Formats: sequence, structure tokens, C-alpha cells
Amino acid sequence: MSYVAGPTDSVTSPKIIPLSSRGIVLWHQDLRRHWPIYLMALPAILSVLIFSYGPMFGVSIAFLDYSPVRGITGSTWVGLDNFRDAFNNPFFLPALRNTIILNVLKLAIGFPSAIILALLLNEMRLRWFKSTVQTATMLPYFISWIVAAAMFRNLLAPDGVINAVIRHVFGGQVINFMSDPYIFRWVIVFQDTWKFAGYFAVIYLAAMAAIDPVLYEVAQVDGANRLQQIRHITLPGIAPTMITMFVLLIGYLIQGGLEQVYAMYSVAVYSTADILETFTFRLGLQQSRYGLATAVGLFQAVISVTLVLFTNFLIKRYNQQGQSLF
Amino acid sequence: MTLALKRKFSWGQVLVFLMLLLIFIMAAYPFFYVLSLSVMPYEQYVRQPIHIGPSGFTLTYFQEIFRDPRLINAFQVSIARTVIGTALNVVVTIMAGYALSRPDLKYGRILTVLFIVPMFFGGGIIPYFLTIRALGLLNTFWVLVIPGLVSPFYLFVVRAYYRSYPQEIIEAGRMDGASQFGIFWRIVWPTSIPMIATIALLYGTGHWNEYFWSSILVQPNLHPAPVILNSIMNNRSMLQGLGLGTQLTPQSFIAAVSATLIIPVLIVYPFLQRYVVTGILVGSVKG
Repeated sequence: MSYVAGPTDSVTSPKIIPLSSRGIVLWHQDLRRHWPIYLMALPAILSVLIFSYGPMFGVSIAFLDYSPVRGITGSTWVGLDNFRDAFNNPFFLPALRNTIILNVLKLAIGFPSAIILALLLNEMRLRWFKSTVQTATMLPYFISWIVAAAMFRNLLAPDGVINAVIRHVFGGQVINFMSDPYIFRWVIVFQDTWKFAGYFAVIYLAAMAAIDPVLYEVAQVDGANRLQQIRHITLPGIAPTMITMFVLLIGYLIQGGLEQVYAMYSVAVYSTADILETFTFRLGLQQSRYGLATAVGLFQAVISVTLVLFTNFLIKRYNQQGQSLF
Repeated sequence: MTLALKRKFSWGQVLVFLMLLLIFIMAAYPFFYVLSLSVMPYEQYVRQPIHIGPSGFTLTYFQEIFRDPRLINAFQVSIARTVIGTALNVVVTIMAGYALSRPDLKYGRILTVLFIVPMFFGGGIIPYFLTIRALGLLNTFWVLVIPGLVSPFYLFVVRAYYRSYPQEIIEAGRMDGASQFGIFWRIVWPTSIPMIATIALLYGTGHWNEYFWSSILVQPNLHPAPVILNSIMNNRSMLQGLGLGTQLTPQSFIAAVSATLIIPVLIVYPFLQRYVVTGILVGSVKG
């Protein structure tokens, strides 16, 4: 999720007139003139080719009877056998269900939380308090998932602070946050919101800062109260940013969350916390069933890209203001 | 200030204040708790049934960290990968971002697409692992540094920055007869220090915090500190041999290791907030 704020700016092309406006530049002319520029980009190009595109070609393993000894070229083509075996694995369907439930809940809770936090911060008139809250809410974004897990495990342990407060202050029963499968699901959702809400709120705050203040003045003259101003000026003003974020987050409905879940889960909560990534991890890296695990990963990647493109298509179709991502 | 408050007083503001106060406590309390637990003496810990805030002060647990060879080694690996990795990341990303920002490149568009695709589509865990293994990088220090040499997201942040960079400076350099390398190293690089610092901090915290792939791709002698912290949490027997002759609480020891991982982030955090958030990231999202 940490990269989702990314690719929105990348589509616009430069509107600067090329130095040579004589029309077509041949490739060797371009290379002769700009070779130092291309050389500067070379390490980065090689890095993505090897470490991003290399694994993409590796997905062919999903269709092979792969073994490390024989390699990709020496393995036989088995068509969709790996997919069938993966889907028939007793752990697959629960993992798929858990992945979708967890990510839908994260989207349903996390997405509005960031917007509400940004709205609250935007309404706060005490400057020092606003910046203090902003500082505190953004801090979780910059710490390791392991440290976040250490904090939550400790606070939510049966003898931890939260349970101590529940017992001694409210006189309630101990809640097994980390070992009750259904409560654990909400712990994951809450922790995800805790880690990202402040970071995303900053992005919405920036969009709010770009709204023309005259709109608010006019609304005040017309007698609109704060809530009406939020409803009719602030929210429409940040709608493009909200849509961009939403489309990007849709891609994470079927993937992501590995680092978080891997740091937090235990055998006791497999029934709700085993996601496709942890399933793949066990299949592939612990049982060396590479073809099967790769098939699951490819299935996720295809669905994720489809979801993003489909959401983008829907927005384009039903939104005349042209706020889609692509 | 009281005057200003009185003038602006409204029940709406009180409500907003209370809600933000609640959010503040939820966000900050885990940090406060970990830090107070990491310096809480053993006697204090066992005497009270609830530990909500600081109580007593001891540096025993931090001394224990620096007495444990595994943790010393882990923090050395963490520091080494953060310093070396960040330096490489920054040079590679800034150079490529600058190159992609040049308007008159014939293949600039193709290169841009080359870097966009991995943001949306990846090979998955297993093909990545097999690629690393095929390259012979397993169980080497370099696997902690080389594979993430460039993050496309940060690359586009840099590119956006150089798009809005004053082109006259580059033109002036060209007029003076500087080579394209000369323009970059002697003119562009020194004038982009704030942006370079931003990218360095983002990559740096990424290296410092990463744990998943390091726990898989290297043997325990190369595990960075977050991986060791994870082992300690999952396997309390890792705590045996610690604090011979003294009494220690595992929770406090875990908190102290966590604190050691948090404190460097807290130190650079004001810079992170100032540059990263208010400036470049937000600007890039707004396009």
C-alpha cells in the first residue's frame, strides 16, 4: 500500500518543444546526441529489467511442471494443471475468502477514515493542535511492520494494557485479541487504518488547501453553515483525489497485506488470517511447490489489474467530469 | 490565545477538538507505551498489575541489547544496508529521474512506460525468489541492497521535480560548453539537495524497516534488526542467556529493541515531515 500514492502524475506528457524541430529524429542521431542521458538512466533500467521484468517472465512457471534442477527451458508444459491443483487445494478457498474480506474491510474502514481525519484537521482552528495531531497520526506510516506488530501484540495481550483496562476499569472479561479468529480480523483492519490514515489524510489536506477560498466566502454570505460547506464545497473539491485513491486501492482488494499479516498472525487465527500471500508463501518457499504458488500469484495479479481497469472504466463512463485515472 | 479562542468559540470546534484528541491518543499511545516500557525497571513491572505509563527509569534493557552478539550484528547489518543501500538508491534514482525529465529524448516515452508497468503488475513472490536465486544473490549482503535499487514511484517523484526545474540553468550550462555529465554533476545535483535529502530519507526508512524479504533471502548471520525482533517475539527461547544474574521482563526487552528501531526514525522525522509530506509527495500526487 505504501506505493499507491504514486503513478498519478506519470501519464501527462511534456509539452515542451524538442530542441530539434526538424521532424523525425533517427535512433542513431538521438543516441549520438543523448548518450550521456541514456547512460545515466542505464542502472535504473537494468535494475527494473532484472528485478521487475525478470520475475514477470518467471510467471511462465505457472504453466510448467517446474523444478529448479531442470530449469524453465527443461520443464514440460502442463497448461492449466497448476491452476486446477491450486484451486482444489483445501487452503485456497479460505485464503481467497480471507483476502477479500480483510481487504474489503480495510477499504471500507481505512478509506473514509483518512478523509474524515483530513476533514477534522481542516476544520481545526488551533494551529498547534492541528500540527501536533498531524505529526502523531503520520508517524505510524514510517515505522516497520515488525515494530507495529510488537506494539499491538504487547498492548492487546491477555495481560496487556487494553485488557487490564477492560477488566479493572470496566469490569469486563479478557478479550483474546490475538488468538480469537474473528476479533483478530478487526485487529488487522484497525492496525492498517492506524498505520495509513495519517499519511493519506495529508494527501487529502493538500487537495483541500487547493480549493478556492472565495467559494467558502460566497457560501457564508449565502448563509451556509460549516457542515453544509463541507458537503457542498470541500467534498466536491477533493473528489478527484478521492477517486484517484479509490481506483488505486481497488487494485489491493485481492492482494497485499503480507508484511502485516505475516508479522501478526499465528496458527490460532489461520481460519480468518491466512491470506493468499501467506498461502503462496507456505506452498512455494516452504514446500517448494513453485508452479502451484506461481499460479496463485498470477491469478491475483490478473484480477488486480482487471479490477483497476474496470473501476477506471466505470468512473469514466458514469462521470462526465473526466476524473478517471487513465 | 485565550482571546482568540473566545472569539472563535463554537460547539463545533469543541467537538472537532475532542475527536482529534481521541485520534491523537490512539495514534501516539503505542509509541508512548513502548518507550515507557523499555525503560521500566523489573521491580516496577512486577509490582503493578497495569502499566499504562512510565514508572521508574533504567537503561538495563538497552545495555542488554548491546551485550547480545546477535543483536549487535543485526543492528550492524541494518546500519550497513541502510547507508550503502540508500546511497546507491539515491544516485541511481536521481540520475534516472533527471534523464527521464529531459524533454527531447526520442525514447523517453518508452522508458516511462517501462517504469510504470511494474507499479501495477508484478511476477509475485515465487518468480521473484527464483530470480534472486538464479542470480546467485541468496545469502549475500547484496541481496539486501541491490534488488530494490530503484523504486518507480520515487523515480517519478524525481522526474516531476526536474520537470519543474528551471531549464534556463541547464541551458546556461550548455552555453558555457559544459558536457551533459558536467551539467548534471556540477550544476543540477548541487542545486537539488532538498529533493535528494527527501528521497534519501524515504529510501532510508524503507531499508531500516524492511523485514520480510530479509527473513527469507539471507541466513541468520545477515538478518537485520527487525527480523531478529520478529524471532524474539515468536520464540521466547531467543531470550535465554540474556541478563545472567539480573531479572528481566521479556516485554520490556522487546520494547527496548522496538525503541532502538523507532528512535532513529524519530530523529529524522522532522525532516521527513517537512520535505516529504508537505512538499514533494503531495505535489506529485496532485500532478
